[in-house]
Order: sequence, then C-alpha cells, then structure tokens
Amino acid sequence: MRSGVGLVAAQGRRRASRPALLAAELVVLLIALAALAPGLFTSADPLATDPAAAVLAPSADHWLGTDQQGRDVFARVVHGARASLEIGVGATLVAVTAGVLLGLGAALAGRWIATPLLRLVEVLLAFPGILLALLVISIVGNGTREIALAIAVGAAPGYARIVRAETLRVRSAGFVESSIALGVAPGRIVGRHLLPNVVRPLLVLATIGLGETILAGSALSFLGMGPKPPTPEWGSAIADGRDYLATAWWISFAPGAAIVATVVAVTVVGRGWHARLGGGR
Amino acid sequence: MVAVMVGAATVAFLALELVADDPVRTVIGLRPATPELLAQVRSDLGLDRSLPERWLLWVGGIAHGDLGTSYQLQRPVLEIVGEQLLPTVELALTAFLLGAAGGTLLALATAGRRPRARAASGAAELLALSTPPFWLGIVLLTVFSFQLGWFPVIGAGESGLRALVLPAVTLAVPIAAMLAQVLRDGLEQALAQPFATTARARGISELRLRTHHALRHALLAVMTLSGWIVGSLLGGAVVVETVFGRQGIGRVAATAISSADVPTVMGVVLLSSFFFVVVNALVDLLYPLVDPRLRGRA
Amino acid sequence: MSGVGAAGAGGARAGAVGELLDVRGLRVAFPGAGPGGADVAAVRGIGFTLAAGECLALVGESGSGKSVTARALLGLAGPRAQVAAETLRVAGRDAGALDEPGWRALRGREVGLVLQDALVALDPLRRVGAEVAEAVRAHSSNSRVEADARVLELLAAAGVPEPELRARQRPHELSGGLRQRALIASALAGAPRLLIADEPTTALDVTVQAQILALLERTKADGAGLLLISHDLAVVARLADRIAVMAGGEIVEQGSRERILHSPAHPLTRALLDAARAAERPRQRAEKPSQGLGALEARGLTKRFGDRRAVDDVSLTLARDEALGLVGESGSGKTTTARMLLGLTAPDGGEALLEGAPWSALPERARRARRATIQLVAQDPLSAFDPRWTVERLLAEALSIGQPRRVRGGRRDAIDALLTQVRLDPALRTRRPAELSGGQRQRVAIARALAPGPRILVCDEPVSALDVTVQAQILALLAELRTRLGLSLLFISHDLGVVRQVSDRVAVMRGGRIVEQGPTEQVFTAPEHPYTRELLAAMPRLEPRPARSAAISGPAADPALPQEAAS
Repeated sequence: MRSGVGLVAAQGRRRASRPALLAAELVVLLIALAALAPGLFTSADPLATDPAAAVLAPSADHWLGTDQQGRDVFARVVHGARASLEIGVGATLVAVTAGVLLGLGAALAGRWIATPLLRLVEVLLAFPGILLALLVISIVGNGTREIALAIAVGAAPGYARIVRAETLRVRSAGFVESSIALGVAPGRIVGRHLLPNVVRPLLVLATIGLGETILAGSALSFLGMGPKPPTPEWGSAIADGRDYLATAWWISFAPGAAIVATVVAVTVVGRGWHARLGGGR
Repeated sequence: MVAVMVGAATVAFLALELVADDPVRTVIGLRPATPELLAQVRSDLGLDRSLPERWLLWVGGIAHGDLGTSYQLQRPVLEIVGEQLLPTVELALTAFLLGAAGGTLLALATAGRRPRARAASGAAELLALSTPPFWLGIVLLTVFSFQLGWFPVIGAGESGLRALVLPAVTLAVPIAAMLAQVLRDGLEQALAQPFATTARARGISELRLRTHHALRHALLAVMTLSGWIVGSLLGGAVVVETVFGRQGIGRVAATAISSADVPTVMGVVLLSSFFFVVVNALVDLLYPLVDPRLRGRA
Repeated sequence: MSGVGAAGAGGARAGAVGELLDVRGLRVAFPGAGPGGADVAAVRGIGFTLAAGECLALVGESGSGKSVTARALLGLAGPRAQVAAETLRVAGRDAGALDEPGWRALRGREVGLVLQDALVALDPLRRVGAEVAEAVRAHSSNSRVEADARVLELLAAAGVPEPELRARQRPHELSGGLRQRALIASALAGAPRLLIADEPTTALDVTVQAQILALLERTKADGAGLLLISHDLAVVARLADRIAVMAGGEIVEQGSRERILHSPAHPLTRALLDAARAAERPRQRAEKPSQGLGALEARGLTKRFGDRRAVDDVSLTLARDEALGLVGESGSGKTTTARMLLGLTAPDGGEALLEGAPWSALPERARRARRATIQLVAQDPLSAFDPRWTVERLLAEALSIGQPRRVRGGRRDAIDALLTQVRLDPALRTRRPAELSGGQRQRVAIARALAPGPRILVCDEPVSALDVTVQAQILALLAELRTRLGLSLLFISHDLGVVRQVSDRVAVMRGGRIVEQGPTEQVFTAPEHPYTRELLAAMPRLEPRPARSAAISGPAADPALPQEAAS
C-alpha cells in the first residue's frame, strides 16, 4: 500500500479530462455528505432487522434489496460510508503526519538524530505495508481506530521516504541557495521555502494515497478486524454476504461497488490536482 | 541487507515484548494461575531473562530458523509456515506471471497509439486498481463458480489447476493494471527522447524502435515496481486465500490474527519481509545490467 | 578522410544530380497545442533550395520554427503536426506523397540527421558501436561481421581515435566531442546525400566546437548537401554558402553568405550579426585603472571533489568599481570559484576576503549580516526563484534583508522602484516566475540582487540561457546599472564575446587554475598563454582569419578527454 503512492502519482501525466475531474469531485462530495449526514440520502434504519423481509431482491421498497437479517442494503451502504472514511482519512492523516516528522527529521536533523531515524524508516520499509498492518492489529486488537492506526503504521514509512527525498531535493534547489546568498535566516528558509514546497505536493499525494488506505481498511474489515458487528462498514458488509453469493449476490455487490466508486473518484481527484500542480515538480 | 533483517527482527522482538503478558495467559488457558505455574510458564517462554539477553536469543534463533512457538498450536512457527508455504508460492508465482504477461501486452499495444484505445485502457486500469481484491474474488466466484459452474467453489484439493485459476486471476488483475500503466508511461517517455528521433532518422521501423530502444528504458521504470508487486502478492494472498478457502501462509496469518497468536503472525511477517528484502536486493543487482550508467557509481 | 561523406558510396545514384531540397510554401501547424487549446502555426509558408556540395544555414532564435522545419523534412515533425507544402521535394522525391515505408527508405539512406548533445541523442543504454551498426544495417544486407568492420571505418573517418575501444563504450563514457563525432558517424552510415545538423555544436566547448565544424565541412567537401541549423550566426558563417534567417515561423531574410554578412536588411539579422561580432570588437569604453582597493579577493583558493582539484590555488582581486571577467570552458572550476567567493562553498585551502575583511573563514551566522554587500545573479533564474512566489513577494523578501521592518506602503514603492530600475513594467508584480519570459525573469533576478543594496554583484553565466537579442539587452542593463550604482562586477562566462563586452580585466581558467589574467584588450589582442591563444583561435568568426589557427584541426587535439570521461 505504501510504495503505490508515488507510483500512482507518477501517472499524473495521464491527466483526467476536465468533465471527468468534475464528476469525480462531485462523487467525493456526495460520499463525504453520506458520511457526515446519511439521513439526507435514506430514512431507513441501517440497524433495524426484520426476519420477515430477509434476503429480498432489489425492489422499489429496498433499492438494493435486504440482507440475511432483513436490513436495508442501501441504508447500510450509505451509513457504511462513515466508518470506511473514518478509517481511510484517519489512517492517512496519521501516516502523513508521522511521515512528515520522520522524513524531515531524517533529512534535516543533526547526524545523531537523523541516522537512527533513517535506519528506522529503512527497517520499516522492509515489511510489505499490509503485513505490517496485520502485525499491529494482532497486537492492538480489532476496531475502527485500531485498523486506522495499523494502516497508518504500514503507510507512514513510505511517506517518510518521499518527504526525506523531497526535502533533500528542495534543499539543494537553486532558490534555496539564492535565499542563502541573499542572507535570509535559516529558520525563515525552512518555514517559507522548504516546508511549503515539500508539504504541498505531499498533500496531493496523500489524496491519491487515501484511495489505497480505504482499500486496505476494507480488506482488514473484511477479515473481521473492523468495527464491532452491527456497525455498518463496507468491508464487513461484503463479508456478511459471502455465504449468500449463490442466492443473493446483491448483499456483497453493493458495498463493493461503493468501495470501487469511492477509490476511483478519490484517485481521479488526486491525479487531477497533481497534474494541476505541474506534476508535483 | 543483513542489517535491515536484524532491524526487522528487532522490531518484531519489541512488538512481542509489548504483548509479553498475554502469552502467559494464553498458555495457561483455563488452569488456575498459581504463582508456581506462572513462574514455570514464564521460564518456559524465556521471559525471566534480561531484555538484552532475550534479544540476543531471539535474533540468534531467527538466524538458525527458529521463529518461536505458536501460542495457539504449541508448535514451532517455522514448521507451521513451512507446511503452508507451497500453495502460497504456487498461487503467487502464477499470479505474477499472469499479471506480467497481461500488463506487458497491454502496454505494448497501447503506448503512443490511438488516443481512444489509451483512454479505454487507462480507465480499465484505474478500475482494476480501485477494486478490492477480495471483492473481485467474490464477484468472480459468483459469476464463474455459482452461475456458470466453470470452476470449483472451494479451493485446492480436488482439481489443483482448475482451482488455481480464479484466485490467481484475482491476484493478477491489479498487478497487470499497475504494470501496464508504468510500462506504457515509460515507453512513451522513451519514445519522446531525442535518441528516438535519431533512431527514427536512421530509417528503422517503429517496431524495432520499441523493442530495441524504448523497452529497455521502460524496464527501468518497471523495476521500481518490484517492491510494490511483492507486497501486493503477499498481502493479497491473505485475503484471496480466505475468500477462496485455499491453504497457505496467508490463511495461517489471518487465522492467527483472529486468535491473537502473535508469534505466528510475526513468523509470517518476518518471512515475507525476508522475501521482500531478497527481491529488492536482486533488483538492485539488476539495475546496473539494464542501465550501464549506474555502473561504477556503487 | 574518404568515406566520411556521401560521394564514396553514391556512385549508383550519380544520375540524380540536381536539387537535394526544393521546398516551397512549407507550413507546419500543431492544432490545439497552444495556450487554451489554440492552434500553433510553427512554420508559416517558407521556401528554400539546396544543391549537392552546398551548405544552407537556417538561423533563428528559440521558437522561430527552425527545428520543426528540419524534422518536417524527414517526416518526423510528430504525430500531432500538420505538414502542408506547395512543393516538398527531398532528395529528388515528392515527400508530400510519401507514406511511412517511403519515409523510412528516405531516412538514413538519402538524408541523415545530427541533433544537439549526443549524450541524449544517442541511446544512453546502448553501446556506441551498436548505434552506428543499427544505422549501417538499416539500409544494407551486410552481415554482422561486415557491419562491425564498417562501424569501425565510419568511427575512424569521423575522427574517433581507438574506434575498437570507443565502439564498446556507452555515450556517457565518451567526452562531449567524441560522442558528437560518433553521432555524426551514425548519421553518415547510410551514405546520405543530404545531412541535416540541428544545433550540432551547441552543447560543446568552443575548442571542441571548432573540431566538429571542421568535420562537417569535410562532409560538405565530399559532396553532401548540408542543412545547418543554429541560433548562432558566427557558428554557421564559416560553412554556409547561403543563409536564411528565421523568426516567428517565417524566413525574414535569405541570401548568399556575403550578402547577409555585409549588407543585412532585416533588423533581426543585424542584431544576430552584432552579437556574433561582439568578441571581435574592441571594448568601447575606456578601461578604468585598477584602484588597488580590493572589493573581493581570492587568496590561494582550493577545492577538491574526491581526488579531483576542481579549483587549484586560485588568487584574484576584484577592485572597487571594476568589472572582472572570469572565462573558462565547462569543468574549468569557474563556478566553484564563484561559490567560494560568495561563501556558499567552504574552500579546502586558501581564503576569500570581502572588502579587505575575512569572509570565507567566518561562520555562516557572522557572514549573514554582511551578505547584503555581495549578491548573486545566477544562470537559470527559473530554478533560482521559489516557483510558488510572485515577483512582489520575491522582491519583498530581498528588501527585508538588513531592514526588517518597513512600512507596507513604503515597501510597495520600493518594489516598483526596483522593477522600474531594471526596465520592467511594475504591473508584472503579480506574476509567478513561470509566467515570465526568459529575459523578464533575468531582469527580476537582477532586481532581487539589487534589493539589499549590494556593492558587489557576482554574475554566473547570466545570459547564456537567453537568445542573442535578449542577451544584448541584459548586458546593456548590467553596464548601465554598474555605472549608475557604482557596482563592482565579477562576471563569469564561457562566452568570450560576452566577456569582452563587459569586462575591464579578464582571468582565464583551465583545469581549476588561472592561466592568464590582465586587461581585457591586452588578453584578447596579445594573449600570452597558449591555452588563451587556442581558445581565441577556436572562437567562431564571421570572417575568415589568418592561417594562424592550424592548431585546431585534427581529432587528437581533444584536450578535455581525460577529465570529461570521468563524469
């Protein structure tokens, strides 16, 4: 999940057309709204069970059918946006923050701090990110917050590496040297030139990375490590429907489609912004 | 590389230390926790020694292939993992070959060609990369096993090769998509370089330009993907083996996590990171062969 | 020497005498490539002809359409280009009607192409020999062994010494001159009757440039037609029989070499001639006697990078109110010297003094307080500016040095005053660096350097990235500012002409050492050191010069080879 960030961003040259970017931005907005105010989209209760209405096919009453406990699938998909986004956004925020601190430290601090930090990042990079997340889960246990933390631990080293490389690149850039020659104080150079030029492209990369964390979060939830059962969440909803594949495909299909739509939209938006920033250079 | 492995083992060791109290309880289970029994178990698990001592034992043990003992099964982790290695390697290798072939063909067919074909291929790749592999597996199962009945529903055992198809395709799809993207970008960048103009001005064919010049440059971009591919195969194995009910170390890891069997999870993770580091080291050795400019710089 | 050109293998086609190129009404457009999806008309209806054994030079500034023209003649203008012409005959064929296989038969065999900078114009991942062999085998049924023998022949004929060794090496392992020779060898492999060379010497040092031009001249003498493209009139003047000057996609003036050089009609032609003659023209202004007071002084400055001494015991003094030129080829150590004088690189030996006081020996904290005294104008202003900042913010930062608190309105006036001083419209205040032209950007760079009120200006190749007409304006601005503000100027350049225009005194660097220094006119008219003489002799000139310059021919005199190969 980590090395993907830079790689997907590298595809920025294939920028989306303007209408595609707009459509993607709209989808992201809708999903964010669903997470914040699900009542806008459905009045059905995602937790209300109804044994009499179990495993109904999609109809006018239940747009996407019902699951094995008679819960409305559409309502569960809408309400599931919150947990899925919480995991994705939370993990990305933690990973980016940790990555910036680690990366800046490894690039700018004195040798006694920078070298151990750099070694730590190298060692963490030796674990495939998703496995590092699994390890953390096995230690801290299940839950929304735990998953977000686990994914953040897996993703942070990748961000740290990017931040360090960018910091070193910007530090040797002509305009930083010009500021030194001009006589600008080092604190001002770091605050006004270095940080903005490192962090701004990183924020765009993090948008693309958000798609990957949402994917990873849904995978861990699918494996049963997510929020406790009645809470609606896309990954665990797919797991719920696994046993009914032959008879009621919609139970698994709908939340899966929601994940795909979210990740595609987030990635298109991230790439679009990346292209607008001039490929991050 | 050795230093990185020792570092990885140390991270694993510290993680184990964090949960040091739990294993005692796991081992004791429902027996009454008398002080004697507690002391006995602690000594069995080596918890009565000093921290640096335990670290030395742990790292030394790993060097000899001792990854500790599963709390759950009370058997050496290496044994458990060893038994389950083959089906995972089979799955990962098949998926990699499928993905590499698919991605390369897609890239060669669409690089620098008609805009519409490129756009369609690009959209398909984005979709493939945005699809959770476990869900893709479920969709494939629904369509090809439940509806069409072409492939067996439950994994290995009955008819090895046929049971391998769907899981391998599931794992291969994102790899093919990522490879196609990176390779096509690499090809298009190479074809826009001055040396491509020079080569065209010699009167060589467009095909020769691609195979003899551009492909090698694009290969450099693809090699940076190796880490991503290994991670994607190993991480994907965890969910794909669960979805398809296959044997394998991914399944072992998933089961061990749900029962908080940290040494087993650790064993799988350490083994994967070892594999990851080895592949990355091999790729580092390959770089100067593909790009002679890197020679003599090392 | 035989075998270099086309005539050797051209016997079978001897009947096809006549025009190699006959172009009339050539237009090349790139639909939707402009800002906001507008169409770009890169070439707007130009015409010219070229016969065997003749050389036509296409001269123009960047964006004039000369390179697009060259590529269109080979059908290589790109998939998005629309090419149309009333007549487009290339090597006797109607190129307007050619399909892709038809073009391929033409490329390499009838027309060869040489681009700028063989480091990227040859495939960097392949052996030089393989690149030439590909060109050999593209149009012959030679066996591998025959082709290999032919490769060595071609390399040797292009003046590459030890061709067996060089064929096994990659472009980056060869010096700039050698790989350009290899590139030319690959272009001549199919014995083309027409050679198109697009800026073939632009990436090269002046001494190597002279050798490559001599090689191209031989090709012409062997009977090939030569279409030579350059931004520099002086480079093409020696070879060209006819010259066409391009601007904005059109040929603004075309004629025989003598006519263009002696009675130019178009203002652009005159500007190009002016720039080309700068190095031959004695300095206009009287040279100021050195006043003895050192504004900036280097005492035995030394800098090592690994085993290499980039700068080796350099001593020089920039007197107050003086303009000192520092000249040298790439890798001579001039930029490293400047960086040590600016206190940006710590010397390994020796010392830099600023206005008589310790400078390089100070800690950076102490140096910062005096940095306002000495300012830098760098070669590439695009990378020297924070890309996110507006001109206003860039200048405000520079103004705040030394005077931290200034009233807001006062600062705005100060910014306008700075912009006016460098002849820029204050309305450009809100632009970002990428939204400025090259010349405007360099003016902003000068304005920023002036903001802290310096007494010394270090200019490191300040005009080498600019078109010659813009170059002249920037140099005039620097001269004016210098007089008006009483600045001392350290002017670093590889371009002898530019240095002669600007400097009171000149120091010549080679291999990290200063080989000669003295008053400008003395160094240019009566050079003492052999290297200075070589440099001056190699300089491209509009007029033929006395035979004194014999030393420059022959490939063996590629002096930069050992050092350069290490890069």
